Amino acid sequence: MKRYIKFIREWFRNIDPVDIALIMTLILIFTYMEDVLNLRKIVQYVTGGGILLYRYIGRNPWYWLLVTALMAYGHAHLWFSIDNHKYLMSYWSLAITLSLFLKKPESVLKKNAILLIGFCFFFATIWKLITPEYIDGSFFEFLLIGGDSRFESFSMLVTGISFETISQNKEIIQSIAASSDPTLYLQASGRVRVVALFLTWWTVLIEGAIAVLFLLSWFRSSYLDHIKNYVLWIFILSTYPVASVIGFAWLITAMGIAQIKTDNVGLKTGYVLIFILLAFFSERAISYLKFLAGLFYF
Amino acid sequence: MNDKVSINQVLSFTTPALLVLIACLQLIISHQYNLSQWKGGGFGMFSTVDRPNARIFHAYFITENDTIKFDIPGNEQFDRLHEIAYTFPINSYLDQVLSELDQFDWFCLNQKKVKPDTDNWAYCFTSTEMELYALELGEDSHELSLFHQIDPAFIRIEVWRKRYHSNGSILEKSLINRRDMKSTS
Repeated sequence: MKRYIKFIREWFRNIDPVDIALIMTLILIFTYMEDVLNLRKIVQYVTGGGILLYRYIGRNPWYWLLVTALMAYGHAHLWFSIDNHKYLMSYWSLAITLSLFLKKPESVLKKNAILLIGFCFFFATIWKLITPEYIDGSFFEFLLIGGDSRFESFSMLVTGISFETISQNKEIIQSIAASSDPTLYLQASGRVRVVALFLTWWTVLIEGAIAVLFLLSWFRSSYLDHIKNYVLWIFILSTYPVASVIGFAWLITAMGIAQIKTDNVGLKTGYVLIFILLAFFSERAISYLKFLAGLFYF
Repeated sequence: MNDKVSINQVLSFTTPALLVLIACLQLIISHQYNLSQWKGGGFGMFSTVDRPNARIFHAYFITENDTIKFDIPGNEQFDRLHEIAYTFPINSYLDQVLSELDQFDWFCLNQKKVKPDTDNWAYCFTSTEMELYALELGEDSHELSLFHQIDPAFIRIEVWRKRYHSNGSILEKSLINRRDMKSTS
């Protein structure tokens, strides 16, 4: 038993984080490819095959070109409705493909991961800072009082708003579509306002910090290297289980692990654990895991 | 050697450059042409209440004596156009929706006939959908007899956005774009 544990530990110590990132990316695309133009099944066969045969084709640039082309084609068809992380998924897949065509894929992919994370959070922060309804706390207040069902439980727990108030607000929000009056009044409380302002500035602060730390580290690697990873972890763990956008969280985790050094076992372990933990918040991932478990059971 | 270095560098920066280019374009288009800032690859999600599915889409048949509001029926053909139009309500997309609506003969059941206190809103179906409806209900159904064919002079569509102001807890809607088309059917 000790021998096996030692073997696994050694294997994990030596495995290139880029390989873990590529496997995570294949799992992500397998799970979250959009169902468009009947492409999901094809992409699932291609990525599923890639996971099983990773040793043989996982670093083949032509294989990744196929994955990228299929995904980008589907995403381009739905450019107006897909979430931003689907764009980022296509960019990341393209970055993997291009890097694998080059002589030092690890180094190129690390630089791409740093820049993609940095710029993604840079634009997210810019949008928030230039949107008046975000900066004055209105956006988060709206989410907390019934504007987004994903925030209901969190809101009731933290702000003390009642289920009835949320339900009444939801009815008013629905009714404005047919209403001849262009303004309606919702119910909020002082505590909701305080929590909304906290969430507003916490998000700007942490997203801005990720943008600055990642973009700075691209210019100069320093002690910031560790901090930027910890800040990214805090963001992932504090945001995505509540907002339940696990596809985005997995993507950032995959890009995050791609830019760390091979011998940094601590960071490697952290990213892998976060990836596994997030799977428990993903309905799709759980249904696929149940399916796989069923295959082994019989 | 220099050539190799430059190709390497170009390929290394291709993807981040693409992200920056699309995000900048989205920022401009969103401000100039009302593309929802949640969409389009600019990373403006979770910054505004104005997400595409929160936008309000109204369609009207304007006849000589009446303006009838109706919901565009959900089917694959309309859904994609409909979604593009409310995410990015520029004239050309709204005109495409109008042209699509203009291709059909429409049959409507005005809600005033059923509930006199409602506004001038109607259930409207295309002739094909009416045939299916007739199969479901039976040709002699009373409900079918309440529908009548609409002969609109114009078709109108409007896209509205919602805004929330924490100061006063006010939810307001404002018109983003409105298009009319002379009906040819």
